Amino acid sequence: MTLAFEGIEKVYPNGFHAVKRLDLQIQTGEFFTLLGPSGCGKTTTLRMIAGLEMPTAGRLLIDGRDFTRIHPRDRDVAMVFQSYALYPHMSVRENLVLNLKVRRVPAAEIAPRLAEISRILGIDQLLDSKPARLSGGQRQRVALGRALIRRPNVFLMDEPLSNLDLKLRERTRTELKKLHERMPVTTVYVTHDQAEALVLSDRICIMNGGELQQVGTPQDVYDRPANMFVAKFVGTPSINLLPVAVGAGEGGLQLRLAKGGHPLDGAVMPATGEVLRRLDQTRGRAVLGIRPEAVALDDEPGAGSLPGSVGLVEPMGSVNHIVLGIDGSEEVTVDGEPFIAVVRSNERYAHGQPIHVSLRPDRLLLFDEQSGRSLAALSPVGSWELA
Amino acid sequence: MTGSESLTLDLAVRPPSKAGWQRRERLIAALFLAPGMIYLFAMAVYPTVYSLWLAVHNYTIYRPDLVSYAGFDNFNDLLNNEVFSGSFFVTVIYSAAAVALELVIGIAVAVLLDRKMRGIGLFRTLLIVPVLISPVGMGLTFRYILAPTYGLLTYLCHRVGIPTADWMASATWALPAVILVDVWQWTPFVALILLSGMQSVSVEVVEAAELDGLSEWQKLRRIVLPLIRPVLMVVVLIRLIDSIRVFDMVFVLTRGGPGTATETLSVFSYVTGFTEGDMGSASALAWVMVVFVNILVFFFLRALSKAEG
Amino acid sequence: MATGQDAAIPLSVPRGASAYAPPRLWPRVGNAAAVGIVLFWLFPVYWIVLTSFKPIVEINSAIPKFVFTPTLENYTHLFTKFQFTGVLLNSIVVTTTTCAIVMVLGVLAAYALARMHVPGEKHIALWILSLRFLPPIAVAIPFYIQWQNFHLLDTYAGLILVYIAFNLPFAIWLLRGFLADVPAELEEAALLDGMSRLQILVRVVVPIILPGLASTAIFVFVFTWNEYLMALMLTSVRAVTVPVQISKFVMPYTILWGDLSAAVVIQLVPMLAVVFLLQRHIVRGMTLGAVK
Repeated sequence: MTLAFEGIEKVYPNGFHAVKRLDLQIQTGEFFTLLGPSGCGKTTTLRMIAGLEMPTAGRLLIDGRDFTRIHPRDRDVAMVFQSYALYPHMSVRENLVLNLKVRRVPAAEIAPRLAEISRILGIDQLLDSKPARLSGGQRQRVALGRALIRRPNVFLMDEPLSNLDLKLRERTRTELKKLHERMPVTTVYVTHDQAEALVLSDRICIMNGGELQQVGTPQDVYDRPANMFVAKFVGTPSINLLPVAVGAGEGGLQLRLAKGGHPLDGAVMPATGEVLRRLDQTRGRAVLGIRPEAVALDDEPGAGSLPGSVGLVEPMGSVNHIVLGIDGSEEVTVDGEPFIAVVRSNERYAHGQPIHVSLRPDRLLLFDEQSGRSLAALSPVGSWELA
Repeated sequence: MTGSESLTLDLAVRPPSKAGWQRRERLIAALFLAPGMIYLFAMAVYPTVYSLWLAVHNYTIYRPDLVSYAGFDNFNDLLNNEVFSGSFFVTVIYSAAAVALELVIGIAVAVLLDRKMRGIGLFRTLLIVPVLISPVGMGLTFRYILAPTYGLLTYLCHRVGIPTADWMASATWALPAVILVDVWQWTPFVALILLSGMQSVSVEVVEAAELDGLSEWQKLRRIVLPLIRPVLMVVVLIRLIDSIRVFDMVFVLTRGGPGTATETLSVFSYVTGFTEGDMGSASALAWVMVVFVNILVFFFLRALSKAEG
Repeated sequence: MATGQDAAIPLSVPRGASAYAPPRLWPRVGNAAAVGIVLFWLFPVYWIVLTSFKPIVEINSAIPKFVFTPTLENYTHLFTKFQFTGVLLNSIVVTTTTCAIVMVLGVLAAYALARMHVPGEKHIALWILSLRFLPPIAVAIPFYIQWQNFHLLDTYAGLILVYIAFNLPFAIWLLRGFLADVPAELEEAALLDGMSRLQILVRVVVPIILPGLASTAIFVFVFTWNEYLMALMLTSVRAVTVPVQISKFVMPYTILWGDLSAAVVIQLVPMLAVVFLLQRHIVRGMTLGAVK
């Protein structure tokens, strides 16, 4: 069962352009996540699959069949709502089987399905309770059960974990993943929590301002973000973005920190012609992206290391986040965020301590300063290539 | 993206066709709405329009066959009629005095009842009772209490030596007495609504005011009342509009008398139409009220939209 | 407003009258005043109830008595001499029929306005609400003339038709507010579960807003039960309702206080019963939704 978006647009009656020209393919059995900040169009996209919103333009296809204008009831999609939307006046049992009854599934078939689902979700003891008597986690399971019992073609989830407290959220996340392995129904999942997306998804679609930013596996979007927005949105603490000047050096590209002009010697690597052509257009100015865990700190200077100093130390338990300054200034990044390194917590650093900062060359990313698009990333063989 | 902007324009010009089930939804919405709307048009709008037709005709209840077009005569007659201006004046005094008293006493009662106390819920509920008695019942109850010779108030006044009168028959006292009864019936209404409004004010805001050292009076005056202003507006306008339309209470207490001392517009219109049989003039009078009331309704709807947020 | 949070919290805040540390005297005085004002305000009600149990000879006594041997003679007189059973029945029939029809028409229209994306729904709703404030006298005369033509004067139907029109605007408005409070996600879940609009309304929405339905019905009930002007004009003998009958005890040369007070008490009883059951929802209705 594949799900396809062809040039989908959504403009609300008040003029808000929620989704802009969306093209997407979702594969059978895939756990597909729509990720983005609030107002990015992810929920609207989900609701269009359900038929709760009508696209303003474009087509939605299931297995090649156009279902853009089919009634929600006839789409064979089930949805878990953010608030769970359990019927408050009905018992858990009634909540679970109502949709089967409405669809005139024979009673002989309802009973085994109910037994199976309530066993899998561990809610068999709750069947006679009303939703108001249940805890948040229990309600969440009932909502899942109500959707699963239908054995739908597509399973939609709108931030289903956001009403749970942190501990429970992480536990339920794991359970969801197990559940999907056990019953691999095509799932479209909406969240603003990047960690949730990384843990759960086969593929992630990142959206911003109604536009698709990138579609890819969790590893893809983390290691090879298509633009600065994706790079920034995925990963905590978020990626460091440093302004650099790019010149043709001996045997490859020579990167220098725009401020202070410190050369990043480790990054002199050959580049493909396409990368060079693009860099030409930016007149050698670019933004360097480096994940905090790829920033190494040393007491001794090394090739391409930067003269740094330790600012605030934020202990996180197993690791510490170290805020870094370069040349005695902490205003290093393009977005005004602190320049952060993640180190193991047994490495001790003191505020004000001078330090040498080096960036792992295989983790460097280059972005266009203006458009934010990815310019190049270092490939495993050690050359700058298009991301 | 410039591409999508131009597309937006296209979409604005030519919206896509609705799916069949969406058209059906519209039909269902119309079917749900239609019975109520048709009913209201037939039974509220049509009579109002018919009333306007009557207002520009000479129509006497005793000879409906003699109906004739009157133009604005009925309205002109009203303007030259001393009873009308008197009635207008009575209505204004009645509404202004009753609503002002209900608001002031209502705030005081609401503040008094806004306290933690065992059984306070019971007393708040009990306060609904005067609102539920029919205005006819409330009016006549007071007529009994205020009655000369055997009325309780008359008796109590005698006992403490305050001079009494046949209040309902006194040109001086009849209007204040009628206002008193209105205040008695509707102050609990105002108080209960304000109480609910007060309880919707966030506890933290009030606590912050307390930490800032405001006195109880300052808290009420500077924090609570400004915060519940939308509710205050709604209540005042509901009471104003309803008191302008008042009929029952006045009619059973005094029938507009003595003379025309308590003849509000509704009572005047009733007397003109049903006692004198002049339906044309009565309708003209009613239409003056319709216009008058609708101006207030306009402000009321605005206040309500604000209060609803 | 928060008064008297918890007197036990030992915080010294400036001004003794604050919530944390109320002085010892004032709360008692305040409590007494609160109880006092309510009882004072209820006194006329108490007095009319008392009167209804007074022997007829005591009722017009120049020295009103608080203590006497209670009697039911006013009530028996009311039912035997004035055939009050018939009047009561008229009121019950007219009120319950009005309630039932208003609720059905009201729920359907309110649901369409609250949930079904009717174009201009807000304006339609406000216009409907504005009808609630139509001066009754403005429509009373047209109704009187038309009912005369249709032979509907002094009939149940004549009264019920008018009362539906009087209560429908208010009911639609109030129900629309209750319906708007039902989370949209619930209905969307029902839609995906495969229900039709009518099924959603009957199986999901109505059970959830049952308290709102009940309080709306009570407002319609109270208003219809107490209505006087239209009943006075449109009835004469057969369809006379309780308020009209009560006012008829005021006769040209005498007022039958015994029968009158008994009738007022009887009129009050059913409302007290229902309202005490639903006190929480009363304020929202009284303010037309401005206070929730």
